[in-house]
Amino acid sequence: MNVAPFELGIAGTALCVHGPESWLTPLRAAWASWTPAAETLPWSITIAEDADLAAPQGPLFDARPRCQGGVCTLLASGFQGTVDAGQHAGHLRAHPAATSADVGYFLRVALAVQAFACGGILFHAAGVAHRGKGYALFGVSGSGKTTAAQFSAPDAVLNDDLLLLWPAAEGWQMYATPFGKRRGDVRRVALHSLLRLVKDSDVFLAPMSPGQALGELASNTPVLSADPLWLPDVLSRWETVLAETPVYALHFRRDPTFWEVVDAELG
Amino acid sequence: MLSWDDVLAKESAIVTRESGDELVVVLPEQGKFVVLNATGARLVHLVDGARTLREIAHTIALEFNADSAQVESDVLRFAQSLVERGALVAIKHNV
Repeated sequence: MNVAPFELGIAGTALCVHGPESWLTPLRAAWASWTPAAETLPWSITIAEDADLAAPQGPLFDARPRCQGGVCTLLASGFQGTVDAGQHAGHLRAHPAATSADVGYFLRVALAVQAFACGGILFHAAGVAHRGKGYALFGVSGSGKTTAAQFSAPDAVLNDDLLLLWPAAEGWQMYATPFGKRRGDVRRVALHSLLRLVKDSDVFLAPMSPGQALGELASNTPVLSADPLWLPDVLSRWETVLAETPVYALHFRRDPTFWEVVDAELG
Repeated sequence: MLSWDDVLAKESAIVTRESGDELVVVLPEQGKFVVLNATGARLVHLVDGARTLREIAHTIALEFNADSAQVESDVLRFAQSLVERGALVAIKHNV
């Protein structure tokens, strides 16, 4: 049974989601406070059960988005999904054995596409609001985002895995997302620095070459970086961020001392 | 292993961007990237599906006023590494 749609929004994004109650009710409850701004035009996302599909062999999260020319496709046993930036819409057909977590992942992909189409970037990074400034701690899986976020207490963690960067007149803003672990309820802070995490026994900041920074940032841009047609725009978007935001490699160990180094050199 | 008479082409899906003195080569299907210095960038620019690696090494040695033997060794090794990473493909393998 379908229920009334619910809307999910962060910064200038908005998704209006239609679908079966069993999948949407848990998401609506978990994301109740993530409502779009009134002036934002939502993209329409439709979720439908399809018992004719093969049963899922794993979570939709395991399916790598395939993107081509603004259309992202998620195909896996039990799932057929597309997000079309040109149509401002997404559709997911899922086997009845799928879960609300699978639907949540599809919405995350849709949000990544919409955010980029509207001028922002969903970013694989942990966001910490430290002394009123936003630090995005990024790196590939295993680089220590969650660990660094844990050692940032009592600072607010906007998210330990996915942030939304959004342009504003006063500079790039770092927005929290509901897709990972958070601490505190800071939803937005001005982006101060980008810090590429490097596990080390010593704690220090090292410069990054422009090319290395650009490559690292592009490869930490979920969904969009898989599209060769979008990729030039992804690189250009990051160049605009780098034009006004310093980026460093942050060598850190499993303790909070890296903030002393950050404060001394960047604070 | 590549040889001097091999002809390479860029993998069609790669996206490149010059950044300062470097060239960023992004491999979207793998979610990976490579950052090349000026010499590496020149090699990638010269790979065009027509020149052999010998011709490319010769051009780079002249342009960078470098020792030919050293450049030849570096070009072969570096081209091999870019083929293994999926940034370049051998389209004519001359033995």
